[in-house]
Amino acid sequence: MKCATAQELISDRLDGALAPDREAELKAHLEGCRDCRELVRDLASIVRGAKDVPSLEPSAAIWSRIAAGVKEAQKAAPAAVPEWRRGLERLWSPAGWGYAAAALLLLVVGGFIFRQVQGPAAGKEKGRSVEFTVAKLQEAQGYYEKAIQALNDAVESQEAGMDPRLAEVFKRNLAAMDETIQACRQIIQQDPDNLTVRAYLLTAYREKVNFLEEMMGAERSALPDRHETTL
Amino acid sequence: MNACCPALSLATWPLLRDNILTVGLFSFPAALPQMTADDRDWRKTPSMPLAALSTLIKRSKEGDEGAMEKIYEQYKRPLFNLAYRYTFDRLAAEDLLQDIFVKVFSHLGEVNRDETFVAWMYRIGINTCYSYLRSRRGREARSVSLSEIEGKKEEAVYDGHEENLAGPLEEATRELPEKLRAVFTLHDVQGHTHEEIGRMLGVTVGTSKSQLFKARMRIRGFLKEKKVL
Repeated sequence: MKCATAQELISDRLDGALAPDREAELKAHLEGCRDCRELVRDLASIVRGAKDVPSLEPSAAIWSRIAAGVKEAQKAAPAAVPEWRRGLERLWSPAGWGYAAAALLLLVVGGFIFRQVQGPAAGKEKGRSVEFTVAKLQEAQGYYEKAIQALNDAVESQEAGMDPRLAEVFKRNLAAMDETIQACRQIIQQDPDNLTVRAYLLTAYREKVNFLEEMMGAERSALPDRHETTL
Repeated sequence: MNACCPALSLATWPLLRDNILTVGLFSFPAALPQMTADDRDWRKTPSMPLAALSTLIKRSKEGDEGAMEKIYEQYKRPLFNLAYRYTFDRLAAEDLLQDIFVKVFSHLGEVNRDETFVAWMYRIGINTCYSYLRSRRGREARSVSLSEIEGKKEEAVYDGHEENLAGPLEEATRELPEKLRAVFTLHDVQGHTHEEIGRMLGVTVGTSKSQLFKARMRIRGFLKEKKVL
């Protein structure tokens, strides 16, 4: 056996992971090789020494920082359900008018079905979870409503000087979004714990924010052709 | 066996052990204790069954802060010690620990199988440490320390026959490349098996063994140079 092979076997042997036949070969090698015997002694010291490396304890204040960080991360990502987001994103695609009507219908029907499925028999655990989620969704909803209000004010101030074709497309899109938002709100009024529709509402709000932001940018760029593709 | 290893003592333990054979057919010429992972750092933390961990993961996914705190309490020490071996700075290690757990709890939805949670959490931890090292190297490349300017870079001096190798080993670990450092810390300091390390680092068992061997040989070279061995 060559020393290079023996060295790797020594490392395995230290971890108790050497097969008996290999152990016999290693033993034979070690009896005639002073360097490898020295390696055995050194590596054993290292492995023993690693056991004595002190284990440190983090300070007690770290958890409160982590809890705050997790809350911040949750706020930064209010629409945390990708399936819902994807569904609503399709709603506002360039060829979105047909999708908009279909999605609106689906939303109303879906909301109704969910109300039937989510009966009052849910357990306490589920109740707490729903309460938490509703609180988070309401928080995000408030954020979006404020953002939309601010953007509406900004867009209105620019609307007078807008290209008439662009203004028309803008109004049609906005009306469709408002219709969806209104439908969601009506369902939620009747069924405040309907998380699916709450998520739809948030996504619709977010899309409206994006749309208004894009409109602001589009109006500034004054390129009507680009407006058509953006919408 | 498993009582010593919280992260390893999940229901999948038969799959996770690769170091448990303790074959002693003859005595080696040099004093060579056969060591298994069980003897190491994990004995300092109580174990958690998979069912209990699953419950905590489920509650954490629902936003239960108390459940998150329990998971943190369970794993804070090994992850903090891992972070410390990349920073050798207590405050920086605490910042890394915070980053790691914020990432873990913010991405819990990605955990589909609870038995993979621990390896997934460690992978986040190790990647966060790698990122820290890379950003620190960038900062260091743009600046020169005062001690280097003055030619007074301190070097530790060791007694040639120290009983406790912990201090020199810490310094030797600091000199290891990041991947070798990860394997040495996880295996020899914390007591993980090669299979677990493979899952954490995304490497094969063979690669983990080979990197551990390289790490030990480099450490030996360092300690020889310092006349500790």
